Amino acid sequence: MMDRFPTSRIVPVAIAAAVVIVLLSMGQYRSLSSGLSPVREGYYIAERVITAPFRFAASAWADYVALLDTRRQNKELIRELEVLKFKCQAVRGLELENEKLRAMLDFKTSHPELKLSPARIVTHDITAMFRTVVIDRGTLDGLVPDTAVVAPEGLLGRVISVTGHTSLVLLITDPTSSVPAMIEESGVKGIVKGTGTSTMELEYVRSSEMVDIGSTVITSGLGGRFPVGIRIGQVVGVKKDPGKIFLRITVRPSVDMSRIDSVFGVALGAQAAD
Amino acid sequence: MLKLQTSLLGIVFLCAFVEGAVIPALWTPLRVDLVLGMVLGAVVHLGFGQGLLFVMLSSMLLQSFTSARPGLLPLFYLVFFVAIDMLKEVIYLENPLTQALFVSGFSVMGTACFFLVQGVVPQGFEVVSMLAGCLLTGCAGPVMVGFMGRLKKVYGT
Repeated sequence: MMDRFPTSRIVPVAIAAAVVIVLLSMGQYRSLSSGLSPVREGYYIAERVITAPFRFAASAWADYVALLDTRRQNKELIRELEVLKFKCQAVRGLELENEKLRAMLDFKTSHPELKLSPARIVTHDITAMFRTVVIDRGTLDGLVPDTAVVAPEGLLGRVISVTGHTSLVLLITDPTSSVPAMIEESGVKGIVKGTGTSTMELEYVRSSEMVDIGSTVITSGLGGRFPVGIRIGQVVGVKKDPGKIFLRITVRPSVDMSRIDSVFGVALGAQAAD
Repeated sequence: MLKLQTSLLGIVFLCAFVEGAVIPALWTPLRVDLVLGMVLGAVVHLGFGQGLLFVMLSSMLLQSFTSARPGLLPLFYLVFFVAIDMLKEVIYLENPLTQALFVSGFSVMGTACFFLVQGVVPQGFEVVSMLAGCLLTGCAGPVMVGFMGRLKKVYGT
């Protein structure tokens, strides 16, 4: 046994074992963190030097050659983004249409006594002074002259001329339009007349009456042309001229005439009975 | 003559579509009168007889797209036609700038007269849209006059 493991070898092994024992007794990796750091540094420098050409090649590939693909991907993504943007707009359009239809449905539900036929606006008045629209419902849909036309927000006007498939609607803002009306809060009656501008006048209200700004003006139903209680607009101005027996009341229509799209033809009396 | 008048009325119909559906779809209060330029074109390129016939027929056709009192549109276009026809000998109407000024000016005058008669004053944004409409009417004038000239050339009348 001793022949196979000479004494000269025992000493270095013992030293090595002692070193190992010392190192083990020093605690967790303290020797490595302090003593071996030059090794790591050396290794690091060597590694940088050796791998530099490879890294350069890899970087060139990633930053330039592979970018060709990135460019293509970028183009595709931009295109995809444009498609998504367009789809988003379409969804927004559908949302708006949905809101509009819901408002129309609400109006129909809240006025069960009225026979309503939905219609769309085909064209507007060709002059700047008069206010009419043509809708896509006519005699074939039961509309006749004087049929009231409403939007979900309130009264729009009445039919003045009708063909099989179209009707010419005189808007309440037209200078030739007159609608029997009353103030909802006080019951004061008058006639709402169009002016050809975006506001109307409530006429024939005595100066002795009290009319507040912000009051709601609704149809009074007098004359039987318009159903009772349809909202016309809101009082935005009251002027009392000394020596005059009537007030000068300005009314803003509840329907935004520049945004009307979907409307209802309202059949009354005999038409409703049908 | 029949062919020319039919074509002209077809164009007037197209103008009514543009004025009543296309332009309001872009900006609802905006109204551009394309027919006013055609009336000027009738003075410049057609004879008095043909022009007068065109003015009357077209204005009656346009009556179906407005609540204006029957006869008001024919009156408006007729006054313009006669006034321009009288000035034809004095003013060089072939100049596009003159045409634009005349059409625009008459459009402003017509609108102002209407509101004076009605006794109402358009306010704020309405004035802007009306002025824009009158200016665009003036811009469209020379184009419509040129169009009438080309049509006259095609039919050779």
